[in-house]
Order: sequence, then C-alpha cells, then structure tokens
Amino acid sequence: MDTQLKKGFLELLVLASLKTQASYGYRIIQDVSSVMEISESTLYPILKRLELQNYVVTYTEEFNSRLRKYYQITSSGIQRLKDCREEFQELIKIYDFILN
Amino acid sequence: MNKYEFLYKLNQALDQSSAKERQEVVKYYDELIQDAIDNGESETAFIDKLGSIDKIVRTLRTDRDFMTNVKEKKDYQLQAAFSVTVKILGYLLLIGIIFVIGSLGFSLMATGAGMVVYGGIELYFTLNSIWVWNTVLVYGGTIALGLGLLLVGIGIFQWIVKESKNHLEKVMEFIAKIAQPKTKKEGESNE
Repeated sequence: MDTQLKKGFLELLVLASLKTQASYGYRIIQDVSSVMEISESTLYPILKRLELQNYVVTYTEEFNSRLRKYYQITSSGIQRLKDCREEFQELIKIYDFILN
Repeated sequence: MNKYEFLYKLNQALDQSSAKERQEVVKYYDELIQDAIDNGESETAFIDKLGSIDKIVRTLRTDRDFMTNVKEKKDYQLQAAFSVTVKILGYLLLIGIIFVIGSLGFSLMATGAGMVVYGGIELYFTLNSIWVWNTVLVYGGTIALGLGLLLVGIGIFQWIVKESKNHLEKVMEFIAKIAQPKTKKEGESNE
C-alpha cells in the first residue's frame, strides 16, 4: 500500500486497538500488525501524536517488577473512531470512482 | 547487540534531543525489548528487527518536525487572534491619547490667548492712567506667559495633528485589512 495512505490508516488502527482496553507498545504492535505491517520505530511517533491530539492518555503500571506504560483511549479518541464511519462512506465513493 | 548496548547507543544518537525526549524514547525501547523477551522472543533477533539506530533517530526527527509545525501553527493562530485584539485595544488607546494631548494643546492655546488679550487690555488701560512699574510688570508678565503658553499649545496641536494623521492612516489600513478577507470571500462565492 502507498506509504502516505498507510500512515493515515495506522493512526486509526492504533486507536482502534485501544477501543476495548488500555494497551502497551509491544501488544499494540502485535494487534495492529495482524491487519497492517507496523514497525516499532513508526509506532512511537504515532502514539506521541495521538497523545498530543488528546486521543489517548498514558499511565504507568507495575508489571513483573518493572514499569510499563499503558495507553488508554479518551472520549475524543472514541469520537474520532466514530467519525470514521462517515469517512468510510466517502472512501467507498472514491474507490468506486477509481476502480470503475 | 544486546539490550544495554542498544539502549546506550540509542541514547548517544539522541544527543540533539531534549533530555526529556531522550529519556522517553529510551524507556519506550527498553520496555519493548523487555516485553519481547518476556514473550519468548530472542533479545538479539528482536533488536536486529528494530532496524538501525540511525533510521530510528531519523524517523523520530521527521515526525518531531511535523509535530512542531502543527504546534507552531496553533500558536500562530493564537498569536494572530491575540494581536488583532491587542491592535484594536492599542488603537483605542491611541485615539484616547490623541484626544487628551489635543485637548491639552487646545486648552494651552486658549489660556495663552486669553492671557495675552487680558494682559494687553489691562496694560493698555494701565498705561493710559497713572501707572506704577509693579502693575506694568504684572501685566507684561501675563502677556509674555500667555504668549509662551500659546506657542507651546500651537506646537503641541501641530505635532499631534501631524502624528495622528500618520497613526490614523495606519488605523484605516488596519480596518481595511480586517474588512478585506470578508469582501474577498463574498467575491469567491459569487464566482
């Protein structure tokens, strides 16, 4: 897939992976990579960006006697995913135009 | 390369980043590697998979530039809105100051003129009757003082007219600039 296109989707995929429960870096990569390839170095800026846009908040929790950073989706993050529905309709229209 | 070597080299490569960012990035990779190990992955194989440190730093830098741009844009918008408010307040203050200085100039002129006329009339009558030096000095002094005030008043008045003309032109330009985008938009919608 086109890298630019991929970049936009990755942000949403990461957000979607947090929809049901808070998650951490390693698990997010595993969850997302089942749908789209994502590298560790690309995830970091995506998480930072999501945090900057207030779509996620972070907290640290102890795990195996070390600290692990968790990412939790916010209400505006959930709203962002809801907005995807409308975008999806637009996208279908675009692809319909491209392919037919 | 093992975890400690990798994190050490990463920390070194981030020398241009802030201490906070450096710490955050190193922590992020430390946690990732540890999670991979806990998940049964091989330490060195996972670190190899992460790619070169140069590339990691480069990705980070490109994205940080992007984020700074977004942030600066926000700041710029805020600054623009702020500066319009400040400008409007500034111009209102300017008009107030022009008014006060203008009034001062005018009252000095009026007082000065009044003193000259009063001193002149009184001096005329004094000189036409039996006069003493003291009285002449008082009225002469009044005329001189009045002339001085009149000149100062004229000076202030002239200066404020000249200055306010420049400033008022700026104010008019500013008002025109605010009004312009509106007319432009209207023009666009007509097209």
